[in-house]
Amino acid sequence: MAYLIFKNEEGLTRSAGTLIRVAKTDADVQITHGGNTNTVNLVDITDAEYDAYLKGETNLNITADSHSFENNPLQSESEVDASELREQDALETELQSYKEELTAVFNKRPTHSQIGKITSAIDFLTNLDTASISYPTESIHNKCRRADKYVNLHCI
Amino acid sequence: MPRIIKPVPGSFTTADISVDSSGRIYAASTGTAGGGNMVRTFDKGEDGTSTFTAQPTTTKLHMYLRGAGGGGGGGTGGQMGKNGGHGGFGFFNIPVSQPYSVPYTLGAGGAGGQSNPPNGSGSAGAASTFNTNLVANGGNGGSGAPGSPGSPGTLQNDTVAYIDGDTYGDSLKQLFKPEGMCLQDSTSESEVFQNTANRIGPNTSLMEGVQKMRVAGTGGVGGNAPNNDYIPGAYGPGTNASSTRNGQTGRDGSLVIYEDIG
Repeated sequence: MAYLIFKNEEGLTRSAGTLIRVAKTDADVQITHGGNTNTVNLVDITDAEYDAYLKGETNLNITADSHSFENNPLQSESEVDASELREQDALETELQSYKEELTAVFNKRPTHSQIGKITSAIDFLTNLDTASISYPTESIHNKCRRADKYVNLHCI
Repeated sequence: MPRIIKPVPGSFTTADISVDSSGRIYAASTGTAGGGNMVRTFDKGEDGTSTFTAQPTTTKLHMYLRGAGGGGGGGTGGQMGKNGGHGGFGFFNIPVSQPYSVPYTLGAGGAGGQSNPPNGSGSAGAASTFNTNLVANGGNGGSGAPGSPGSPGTLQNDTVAYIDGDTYGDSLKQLFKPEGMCLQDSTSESEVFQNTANRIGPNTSLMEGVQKMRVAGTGGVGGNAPNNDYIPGAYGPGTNASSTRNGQTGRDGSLVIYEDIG
C-alpha cells in the first residue's frame, strides 16, 4: 500500500498545492511527518500507481478532495514540440539542476525505500555525455525516462 | 509620628522585602535570583527528526520555529510558475522543568512543479514540530502558470505569530526576522547568493552582512518558461529561450532556540 500525504490543517481541502509527498511505504511516510501523524492526512493508493508516478508514466490530478492518475506517454524524440527542445547549454544546466536535487535527497534521506533508484538516476546523469548529443534535443527528464532512470521528486 | 516596627539591619542580595501600608520596610531577607539573560544556544535549518536537550540550568526557552516552504510551480508558454508559500513562522515561550529533553522535527521543503506536465504545481512543505504540540505548518505549493502563489503555513500553540496563514504578500514582510535565521551550512558563495537572493521573491534583497545566514522555510521560486516558439540562440549563443521550467524546491523548516543561562 502506498500513500498520498497531504497537509492536515483545519478547513484545508486536498489539492495539488496541499500534497506534501507521495510515499511507497510506512517508513517513507514517517520520514515526512517525523512521528507527528496529526500534521498529515493520508490517502491510500496502490503500489502500481506509485511506481508509475515515480517513473513519470502518469500525471496526478487532484481537485475537490479527489484524485486520479492519467497516462503520460513518452513521445519519440522526433515528435517533441519545438518549444520543448534544448540546446547544449540549456540541457547541461537542466541536467546539473536535476542532479543536484537528486543528490540532495540522497544525502538527506538515506533510508528512503527508493534510494536505489535515486542512486541509479544520479549515475546515469553523471555518465551522460552531453557533447555527443545532436542539438536541439529533448529535455533531461525525457532522456531519463527513455533510459528508465527518471525519478519524480514528488515521490521522495 | 512614624514608628519603626522592627529594624532590619544588614545587607541583602536580591532582597525579598515587606512594606506596610505607610510605605515602611518592616522585614527583609536575601531572595532568589531572577532568570538569566537569554542566550542563543541552538539553530538548525535542515529537515529531519532529532531530540533537543536543554542546558541543565535552563528554566525557560524562547523558540522560533518555521515550517518548510512549498515548491514553486512549473512554468509554461512564456509564463512563470508561481512561488511556493512560505512556511508558518512564530515565537514560542516555553517553561522548562529539568531534566528537559524533547523531540523535534523540521519539515522538508516541497518539491518544485515538474516540466512534464509543463505547468505542474509544486508540492507543499512539511510541518515543523517541537515536543509534538508546537507546530509550524508548511506552505502550500505554488500553482503552475498562470495560477497563484502557494498559501503560507499556519501555526499551532504559538505565543506570537509572524506568518500564520497570511496572504503571500504579507508573509514576504516577515521573512527576515533575525531570530529566525540559521547559520548557512554551505561555504559556496554561489549557494549563498542562490539562497538569499534568488529564492525570496521579487523586490526583496538582503544586506551583505547577513548573507551568511540562511532564511529557512521560504517557498520555492516558480519555474521559468520558454515562449511557445523555439528561438535558437535567443538568449545567447547555443541557448534556447529558457533553460529552466521546473519550479524550485522550497526551503526546509528551521528551529532557533534561546535559553535563560546568561
